[in-house]
Amino acid sequence: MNKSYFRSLTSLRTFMILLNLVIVIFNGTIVLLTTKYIVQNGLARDFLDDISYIPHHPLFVFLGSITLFCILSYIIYHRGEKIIENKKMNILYSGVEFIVCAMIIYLLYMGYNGVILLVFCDCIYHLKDDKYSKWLLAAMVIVYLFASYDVFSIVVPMTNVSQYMVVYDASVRGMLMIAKNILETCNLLLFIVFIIVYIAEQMQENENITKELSMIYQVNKELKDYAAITEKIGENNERKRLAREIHDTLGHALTGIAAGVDACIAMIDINPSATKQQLQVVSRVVREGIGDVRNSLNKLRPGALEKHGLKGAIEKMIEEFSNVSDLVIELDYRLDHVDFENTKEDILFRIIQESITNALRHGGATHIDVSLYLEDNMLYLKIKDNGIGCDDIHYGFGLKQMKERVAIVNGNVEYDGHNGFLTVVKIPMQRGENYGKSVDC
Amino acid sequence: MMNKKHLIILILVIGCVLTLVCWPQTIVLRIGIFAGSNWDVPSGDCYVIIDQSIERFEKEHPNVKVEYESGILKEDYSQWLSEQYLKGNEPDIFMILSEDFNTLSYLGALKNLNQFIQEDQSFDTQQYYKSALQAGKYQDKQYALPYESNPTLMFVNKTLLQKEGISMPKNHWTLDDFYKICQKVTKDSNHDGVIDQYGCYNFNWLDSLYSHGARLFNETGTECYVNQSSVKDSISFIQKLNELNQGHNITSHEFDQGQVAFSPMPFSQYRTYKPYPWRVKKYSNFEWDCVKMPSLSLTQNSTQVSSLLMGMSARSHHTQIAWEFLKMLSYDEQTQKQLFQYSQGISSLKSVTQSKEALLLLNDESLGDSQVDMSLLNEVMENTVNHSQFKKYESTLNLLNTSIQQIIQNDEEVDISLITLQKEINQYLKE
Repeated sequence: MNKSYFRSLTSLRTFMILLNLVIVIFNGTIVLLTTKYIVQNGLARDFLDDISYIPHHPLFVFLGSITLFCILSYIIYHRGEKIIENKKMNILYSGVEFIVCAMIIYLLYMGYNGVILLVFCDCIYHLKDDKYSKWLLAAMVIVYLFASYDVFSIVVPMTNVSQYMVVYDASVRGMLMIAKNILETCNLLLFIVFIIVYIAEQMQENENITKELSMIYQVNKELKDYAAITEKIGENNERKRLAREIHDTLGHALTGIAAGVDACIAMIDINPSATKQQLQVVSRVVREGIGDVRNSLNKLRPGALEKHGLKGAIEKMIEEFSNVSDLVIELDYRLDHVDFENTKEDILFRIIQESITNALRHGGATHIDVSLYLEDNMLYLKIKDNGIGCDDIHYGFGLKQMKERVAIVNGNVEYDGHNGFLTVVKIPMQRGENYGKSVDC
Repeated sequence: MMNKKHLIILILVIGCVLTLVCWPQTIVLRIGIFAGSNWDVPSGDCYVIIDQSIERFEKEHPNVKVEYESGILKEDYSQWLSEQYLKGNEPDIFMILSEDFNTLSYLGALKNLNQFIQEDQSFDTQQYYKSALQAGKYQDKQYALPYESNPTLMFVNKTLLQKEGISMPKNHWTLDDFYKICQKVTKDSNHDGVIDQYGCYNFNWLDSLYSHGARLFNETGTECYVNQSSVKDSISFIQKLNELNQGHNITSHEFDQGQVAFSPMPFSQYRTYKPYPWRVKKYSNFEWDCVKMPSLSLTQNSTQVSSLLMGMSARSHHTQIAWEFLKMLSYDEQTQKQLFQYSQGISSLKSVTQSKEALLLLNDESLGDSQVDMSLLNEVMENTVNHSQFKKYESTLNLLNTSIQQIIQNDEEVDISLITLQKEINQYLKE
């Protein structure tokens, strides 16, 4: 749209330049040839009586006006080709165009002021939303009003070029007047068309801006909706996380307690002192559970991990499980030279905790092997129990949680329900985590 | 390599420009003059004064060359000058015919000399006769300087007056004296019942107007004062004179035959026809002389003077040199003295017109008994009247002339006719 608009304005301007060139040459030729005619016909003395000021050298008028017009068109084109970003240069160009135009009009004895329209068009074309442009255009309108012989000759005496036509007889004079009027009217029409196209474009542009604004409004609204959804998702995630925490801490502790209490119920009649000891263990597990819950509430970070490091935390957990049940848990920890970030530690810890809980709760296992090692720059966590296993794996909350957790650190989890239950976690190592030399490969 | 080339070209260009600027240029000054006399009298040596002035000027200014186009007749001159102006090719200095002066001044074609006059210490306008200088003034601007002046004198047929026993009128004489003499001489001398001796030939209403000291227009030419008592008196005076002739129109033949006592005569004609060889050709069968024009009272200016002006083009490129040459023609005593020798007018410079050489020249030419001597000329020049200068002066005067001639011819009622005429003329002036 914009391109075609520029093309139509540019071609209109080119037409105007050509037409004005023709008019300038026409006026210059009239001065030149009429002078010759006057001299040849011996009308010079009477002509002097008719005019109001001594004319310039006719050749000077002719060549001068054409040369100045060529300069003007050069400036217009030069300006057209090089889009001038500089505002000051733009104003300067307009000023120069304006001065050259005034000189042309003066040279042609104010007989033709349509050149101003051309300069006007060119300035409108270039100075779009400039604050000086308004003043410049206003000045041009004023000059256009005053740039007629009748007004200007009151201030500056000058030859009345209309007398050049009067020397001819009526028929020739009529033809010349018709030609002159047609040319000038054409120029005016071109000017009007130019302005119409220009204004139409301005309106189109305004419409486009309105459209774009409404589009921006629409996008804005969508963004707002999206933000609301994101908030909801966040809330949901938080809820899930809380559920996870409760499941991991409280659920785990309660399972231990239930198992411990069950053992007590079974033992209390046989061996009260051992039961007492067992109850003390249960009591400790309850307190730790409380501490875990508190920690979860505070930092959502396992307290054992915080206190003892990953290995310590795991050993502690295994000890706790061994204490409250008849489980035998063997830990094969081969990550002495590895330093994990907290998230990873948390995840590993939780997965081990979850797997042991599952093995105890669902598999009824009595022996669990937990091994942690590095291989091919991958961290492997294998938890294998001797429980009943399952043929097709049911993704409960715990398993899903595990998967999600591992996914956070780009790892993956594999389960195998045959022959007991096997959980294999693979997490890629990151730079800087492995600082030891004796890494087992 | 390229830089070196550019440098050489640059140096060459600068060198050329410097040579052009510093080269002792010959200034060509073009002047416009016409052949023959401005006063329509036979004249043989029309280019002598100009040629000699040019020679002296070129000697004083070695880098100046003065050129002129010779052979332009006076009747073609106005047209020629107009054409040159239209072609933008006018000379720097040129003669201006009195009928062209107003138009050219109005068009801004002439250079305003006021600034030159003010700045030039060696130039004093007091040297000119006031009215001659006034002739080159247009609305308070001096556009031209007088080159040559030609006052109007009154031709007197001495033989006729002697026959009638009337003494030659003195230079101080009034319109009354003039009328009385006319009255006396107008008669039928051979007693055939028809008047064959007349008082005055060719004394028109304008002469009468000048003698009455009337002004026709205001300074700027926006108003006409035709309807005033002095104009009425002037016209009545002409009517009175005409009545003496009882309706007879005096012809030039009768004047040449010596049947007329008076006629206004430009000084140039006096200069031409008084000395040998022209004196045998014209007015040879009677004695004649010239006196000052009569005036209404003895203190009034009464003479019309016509001046040949010289001006400078407003577009001249060498205004200072042109001014120097203009001064050489108009203000230089040597040039102006030559006017008495080679031309028929008189100088507009007081010092020249009053000089001994001019006096000797004049006295050599005349037969010694002439009343025209330098003191008369001086007096005449001091007492001339000027008319206003404005663009429509010539055309308005033509209109007035036709109408007033009609009034005089038809012997109309002057009062009423003048009221209508004034209205018409004022209307025309305002157009």
